[in-house]
Amino acid sequence: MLVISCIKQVPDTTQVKIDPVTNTLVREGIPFIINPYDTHALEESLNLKDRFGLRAVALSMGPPNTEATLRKAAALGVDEAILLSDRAFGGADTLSTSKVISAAIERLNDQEEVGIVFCGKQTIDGDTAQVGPGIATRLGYTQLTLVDRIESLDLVKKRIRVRRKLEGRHEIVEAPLPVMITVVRELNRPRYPTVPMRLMALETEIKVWDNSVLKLDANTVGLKGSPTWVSKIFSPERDKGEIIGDGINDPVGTANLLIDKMLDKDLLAV
Amino acid sequence: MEATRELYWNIGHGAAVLLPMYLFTFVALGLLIWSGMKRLEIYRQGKPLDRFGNRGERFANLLKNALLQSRVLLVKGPGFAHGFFFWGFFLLFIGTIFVALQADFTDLFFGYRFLNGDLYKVFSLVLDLAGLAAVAMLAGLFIRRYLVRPKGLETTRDDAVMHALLFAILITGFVIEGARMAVNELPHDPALAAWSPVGLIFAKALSGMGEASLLALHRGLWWLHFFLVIGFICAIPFTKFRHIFTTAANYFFADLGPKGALVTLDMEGDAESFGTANLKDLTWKDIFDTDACTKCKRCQDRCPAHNTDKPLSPMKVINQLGEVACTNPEANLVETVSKDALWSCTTCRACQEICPAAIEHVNKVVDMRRNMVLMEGEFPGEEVMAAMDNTEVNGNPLGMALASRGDWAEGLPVQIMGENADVDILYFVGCYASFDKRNIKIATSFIHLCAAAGIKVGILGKEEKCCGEPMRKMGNEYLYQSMATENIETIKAYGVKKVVTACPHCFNTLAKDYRDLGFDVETEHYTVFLNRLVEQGRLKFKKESFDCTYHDSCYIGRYNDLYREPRALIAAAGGTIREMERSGAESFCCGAGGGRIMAEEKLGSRISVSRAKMAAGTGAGMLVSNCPFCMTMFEDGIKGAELEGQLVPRDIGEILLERLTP
Ligand SMILES: Cc1cc2nc3c(=O)[nH]c(=O)nc-3n(C[C@H](O)[C@H](O)[C@H](O)COP(=O)(O)OP(=O)(O)OC[C@H]3O[C@@H](n4cnc5c(N)ncnc54)[C@H](O)[C@@H]3O)c2cc1C
Ligand code: SF4
Ligand code: SF4
Repeated sequence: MLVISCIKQVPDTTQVKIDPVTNTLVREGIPFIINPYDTHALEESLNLKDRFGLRAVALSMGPPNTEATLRKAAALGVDEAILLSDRAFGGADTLSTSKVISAAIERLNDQEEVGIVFCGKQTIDGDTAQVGPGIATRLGYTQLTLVDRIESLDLVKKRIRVRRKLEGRHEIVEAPLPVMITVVRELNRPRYPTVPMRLMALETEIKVWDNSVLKLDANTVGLKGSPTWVSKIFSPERDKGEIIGDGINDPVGTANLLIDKMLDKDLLAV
Repeated sequence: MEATRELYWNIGHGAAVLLPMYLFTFVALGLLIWSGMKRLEIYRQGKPLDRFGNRGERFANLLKNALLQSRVLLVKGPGFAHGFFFWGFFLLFIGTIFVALQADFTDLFFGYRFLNGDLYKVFSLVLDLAGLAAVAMLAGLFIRRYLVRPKGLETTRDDAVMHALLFAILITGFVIEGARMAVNELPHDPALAAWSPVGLIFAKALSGMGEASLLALHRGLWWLHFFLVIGFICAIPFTKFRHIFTTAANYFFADLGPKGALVTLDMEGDAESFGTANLKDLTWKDIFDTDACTKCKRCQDRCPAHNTDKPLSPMKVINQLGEVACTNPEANLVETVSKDALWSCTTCRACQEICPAAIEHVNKVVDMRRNMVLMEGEFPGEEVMAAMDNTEVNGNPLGMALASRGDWAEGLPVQIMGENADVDILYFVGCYASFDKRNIKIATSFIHLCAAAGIKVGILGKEEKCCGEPMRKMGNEYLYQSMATENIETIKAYGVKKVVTACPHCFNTLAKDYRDLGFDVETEHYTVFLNRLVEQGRLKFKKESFDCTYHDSCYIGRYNDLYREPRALIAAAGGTIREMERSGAESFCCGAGGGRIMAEEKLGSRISVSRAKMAAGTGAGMLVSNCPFCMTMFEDGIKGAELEGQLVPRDIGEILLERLTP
């Protein structure tokens, strides 16, 4: 049985600045990383590989340089790393991204039954949190979002039980396989690649599947297949705050001022 | 009458004496050699390592440290006691050889005697005093071990056996001498007796016994003394007495390479395993080291981790490895020593610098860390793993943006090499001075000082990467090498003639560690560089006198023996240093070394707080150091020790800049 992790290569957004003139992201000299949530998706697929002997496959859609990200996944221990890359896939929105990834999963399922697909909760660049659910819908998989713990996995009965992390509460849910799970960071602690694995990963073949493999209608993928597009990116203007009181010399008075202010603005209720 | 004595007096010199005597001696020596050979098998479990080249230097090391006791004497008190005991016992040994040489060889075969006349008198006096010194020092050591009982000193059966044997040998020696003198010299040649002052005391005490009992006592004790010595020889392989040979040999095998150098692993070769997990991953020298340890605990006393209640003692690590080598060669060394102990090391080198047996601790710790990191992907905490990831992505453990590395230098008289590489020196800034607000001031002051001296300085800016030192010391040789090769390539491409660093960690790494990777550009620490400028009169300071204390960072002090230059700079700026008790080679680490700068200090108390208290204890209000890591730790430690306002941490460069005269 396969366990698949979908990982996206993203620019390290802690460093991304927006060019105030052109309103575009300044990407020059910005290193790429694996989307932080996806490192947890990847880790969990490896945990299941270690515990249940599932075969772990990592998928990523992106330009050819995404190979570096998949090589990292190989160094961490996935059995197979596949890059979904084609000029036709470029400029994809969440709809066509999930279409391409779903097609790849279907293709993998033809060879070996897919049990679980892990996605990150969201990415740090696109931030839509739509691709995972998009895949689940397309493939008709049960969708388990915001999972912070795998409670149990029964490969005979083909059922999985997970804990979802919701605002102020947890929810334990059970579902039949196959499932698509989006993960939060509390799920696990990603491992660090060992040197023998890194060296092995240098030799690992990163498969590239382009549209000649996936055979999707070119008009339904990439920019052409994307009904949404980004028209403008900008940093929101923020009102400058004000300094109230004198916190060093009169902390109590200042705290009172602050509370009054918050009551005023309806940020606090008595 | 010519001054001499009849050797074998009262014992006889026939076959009935010589035969058993030499038989037992040879059997004892045979046993010693045989157990030595057996012991070699234990060392052979380790990997090969060449420690035989440069024999001349090695022999000089051996003689200096064994005969002159140089390393032993690094510690006063017990060091001196051991030194004088050794010299006393050694002279007695030489004396005994002389006696045997004359009686059983030169006289026996050639009728030649040399122990007579004035030479005999000196011989007699020297041995007498040597015996006295040995007894007195042994008594001192006995009192220390059994009555004073310093904390941490492990006392075992070995120590009891050793003390008892040595005392018995020395005391029986004096009683034998006294009995002989009571019969011979006291009545017949009192002038000669004066040449054995201690023997004389025993002779006088025994003189009332009557000749027959004296003769019987003398003969009985002579044989007892002989068998005690045989017992001593036989005990060498089975007790800590073995250090007589192993420690001496360890001086011969000592590392002659650059101080503190670690083995640069071949990361691309076909090695299947990295670092040390099992005995077979150690070198024979690592195992031999464990046999040279005398459990003197000097290392442990100085270990900053041990002193702040962390589960690390360098002595214990060495002994644990020794125990595995002797009794349980299959054991996992990392588990045996414990991960927490291994992660606690700051690689400060205090242990290695003081060890009287020239044992190498730090490389063993790092090798075991290497196994944890390179083979298991393990770290002391998630923050360290994050720092590693940050370094891999952004070239610094702080997670700051790669491209902003040179931002601190904006508007300063410094060139970015990528824009203009015509410079006198390349300043390798390092991560902390590039990104950390407090430490940027160190970088800035260095730039201004250079400008004042008319030195054209360049930096690599965003092309610079972490030197890789913290990662390397944490065991991540892979990441270290990837940082190092990038830096080396970058620096070499600019044809730089000289690199100066303000960070001791960068300095040690570029100046020494990078050599293994093909870096050959001259590298200096800024204290040395600036001190030269001061000596050349290119930098002048207002002489405003001020009081401070100075912290020798581990990597400038112990690793590179630079104790003079930083102090000279402080003096040039008018500073008077109130030295801490632990200063110079005995300096106490700030806690940041060994990659610990990236780790939270979760075990025990904080090293930086201890050090801040030591600094405050001098009464000086200023703690001067030469290292961005130390600065970061002291900022923290001073807060932790609640010494804010009483103690201010400063860098030498900052002090100089403030007092610079245009
Ligand atoms: C600079 C920029 C420009 C963009 N321009 C456009 C545009 O012109 N038109 C448009 O429609 N959209 C645009 N997008 C959005 C882009 O389509 C999305 O980044 C992409 O479709 C995925 O959505 P997301 O990043 O929000 O992922 P999310 O839905 O937040 O991701 C959830 C999870 O899905 C998986 N996943 C997401 N993407 C991939 C992938 N490529 N490969 C493997 N797994 C993946 C990961 O597990 C991820 O954690 C742009 C985004 C950026 C940052
Ligand atoms: S190097 Fe320093 S911290 Fe490490 S064991 Fe030796 S004394 Fe302790
Ligand atoms: S390792 Fe060296 S300093 Fe430490 S106890 Fe042994 S001999 Fe003494």
